[in-house]
Amino acid sequence: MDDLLDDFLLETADTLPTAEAELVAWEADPSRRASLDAVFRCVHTVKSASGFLHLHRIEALADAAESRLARLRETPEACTPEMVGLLLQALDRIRDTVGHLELLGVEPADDHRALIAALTQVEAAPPPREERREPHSPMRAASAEAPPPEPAKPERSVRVNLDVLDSLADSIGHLVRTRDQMLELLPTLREGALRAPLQRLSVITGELQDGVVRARLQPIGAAWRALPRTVRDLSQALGKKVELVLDGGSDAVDREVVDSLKDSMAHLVRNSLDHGLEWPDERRAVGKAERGLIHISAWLEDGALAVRIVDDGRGLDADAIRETAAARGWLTPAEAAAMTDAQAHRLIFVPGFSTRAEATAVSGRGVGLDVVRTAAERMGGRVSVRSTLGEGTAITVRLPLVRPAALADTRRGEPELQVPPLRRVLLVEENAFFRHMMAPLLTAAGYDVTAAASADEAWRLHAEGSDFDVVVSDLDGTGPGFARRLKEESRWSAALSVALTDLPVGRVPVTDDFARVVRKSDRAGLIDALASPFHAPAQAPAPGQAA
Amino acid sequence: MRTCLIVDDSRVIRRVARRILEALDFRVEEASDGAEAMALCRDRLPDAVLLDWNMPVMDGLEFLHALRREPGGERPIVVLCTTRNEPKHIAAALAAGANEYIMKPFDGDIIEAKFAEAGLPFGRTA
Repeated sequence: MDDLLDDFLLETADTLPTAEAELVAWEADPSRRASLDAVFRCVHTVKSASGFLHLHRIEALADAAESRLARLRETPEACTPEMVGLLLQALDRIRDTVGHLELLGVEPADDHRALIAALTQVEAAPPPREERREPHSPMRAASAEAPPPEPAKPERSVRVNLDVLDSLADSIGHLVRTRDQMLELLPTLREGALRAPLQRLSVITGELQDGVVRARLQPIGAAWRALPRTVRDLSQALGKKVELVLDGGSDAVDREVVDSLKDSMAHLVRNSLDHGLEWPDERRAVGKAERGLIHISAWLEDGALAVRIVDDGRGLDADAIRETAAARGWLTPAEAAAMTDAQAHRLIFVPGFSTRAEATAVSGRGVGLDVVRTAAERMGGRVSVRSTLGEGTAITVRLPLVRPAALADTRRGEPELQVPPLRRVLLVEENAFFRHMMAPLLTAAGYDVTAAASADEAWRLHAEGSDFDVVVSDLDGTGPGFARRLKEESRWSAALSVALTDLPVGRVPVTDDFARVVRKSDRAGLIDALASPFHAPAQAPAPGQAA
Repeated sequence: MRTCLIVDDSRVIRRVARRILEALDFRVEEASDGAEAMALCRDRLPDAVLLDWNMPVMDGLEFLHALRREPGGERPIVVLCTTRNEPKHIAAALAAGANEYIMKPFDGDIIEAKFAEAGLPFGRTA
């Protein structure tokens, strides 16, 4: 029965969040029948499956929720926020019960009778909604707009403990180092018979690493799956009206990046709701729509993930920020006054900053946006803000796509080797995936990185007059011709050139070696420091030409 | 060997049903919604279909309507699964051409009995 239980855990990990998101989407826009149907289907699935597994508490909760949902499908107009609250509560309890089950293998002995009674109770005359809602579609979640969830057909997935994946990555790291040692020995061996198997070993090792990297990928949207619910609960608690729009969560990034975003997103959304958005009457008074807007979008750029949260609320008051900074004694009044608005805005990320005297129930006391900044910086990322008083605020979090552990290593190790800033690096790598992985490693190591997707693009930069101190190129992708032309015909012939074949591309995302090796050889002024055993260097290693 | 198509969007339930049916000497195929089931049926009609009601893309009733309109589509014994013993549902299922209905959770005995009632005797041929 155990594999059935695993299937059940896997399935509910999927259906419960979907049910929650669809329920919140339906409440926001009751004209969306498909959302209500999807909630019903999810709850129904949980109920039937738990029945087969004799999970009676889950079954009872799901059954009560299902019967309530069945009635709502008949008379959707009878729905009240309290009713949705009860259903959300049922989903919460099912999730908690499933969590307990996963941990301990049995359902906890919690008493759900009151909730079940409330869900199954039939009202004599359902109280009408106090407000007739127009179908203004206030919650547009990517998941809700998309066609119904993918049918579970090929379902070739299994849950893997992250620790297992990490230790696998470590083992592969050791494998890579061993493989590299062998590659280094290769030229000293007279026997050429080792060459082919080693090359195969090298390729397979790269594939293994690639596989581990991919196994850790998760869609960015997973970081904000819970936000519609958060916004729903908070806006109701605060009495504010808000439309939440979510854009572009389908790109996949390392799950550590997603995890670190989760808390930050929740924090930023709370902050926008609590401090950014005005009360409905306040908004009316200044000629804004009563319903505020929170727009979250995500995109990939220059090897980083950017996530932006924009609200159309009151905006940051630079003067109030200056006053606070001066009152705290962080700045003299003169210094504060000399700051531009943009500089003042950045102070919101300083620990202990708050222009509010009172803590609020929502944002709490003493937890400022510095938490968001700290989380981003721990991942090698950064946070920026743009705001216009009276119009709104945009906060952008940028995180590198590489596994943070790799980045932490590059930063921690050998700080004395930090290169002076703005050593210019041209990275020529045709594979977008690896380009996105490598660029931030180099950036984190202190280089000014330009990435080119092909030799043609690199030569275009050459023609445009761009100059670089280091050229990192992928010999396999761009062709050996690139390196030869680089050395023999180009203005860049004096630049340190690093061939990526020596650093098998698959290794880069999971180790810190890449940036470290580039940095070391850069400092040492070596040319072709990484000459490949498989590709004859365009010219013999010659020290002392760069730096 | 007799064939049975399991149509359910829950992997858990498909797996439970597969165990039960294989123990009853069925060769089993699976589909996770009505549309997928329809595609399989056009390829080869099964002897029996164990059909869930609530599914994305194409639900059980829609599938049943479509199946019965196919050439030869009246032949498979269709048993519709519900979780609710509501006369309205049962009537709708039978009107749409279901041979029998069955309540979840079911077990091997129930399935065997229902299939027999629907006219699919279990002579273990093999």
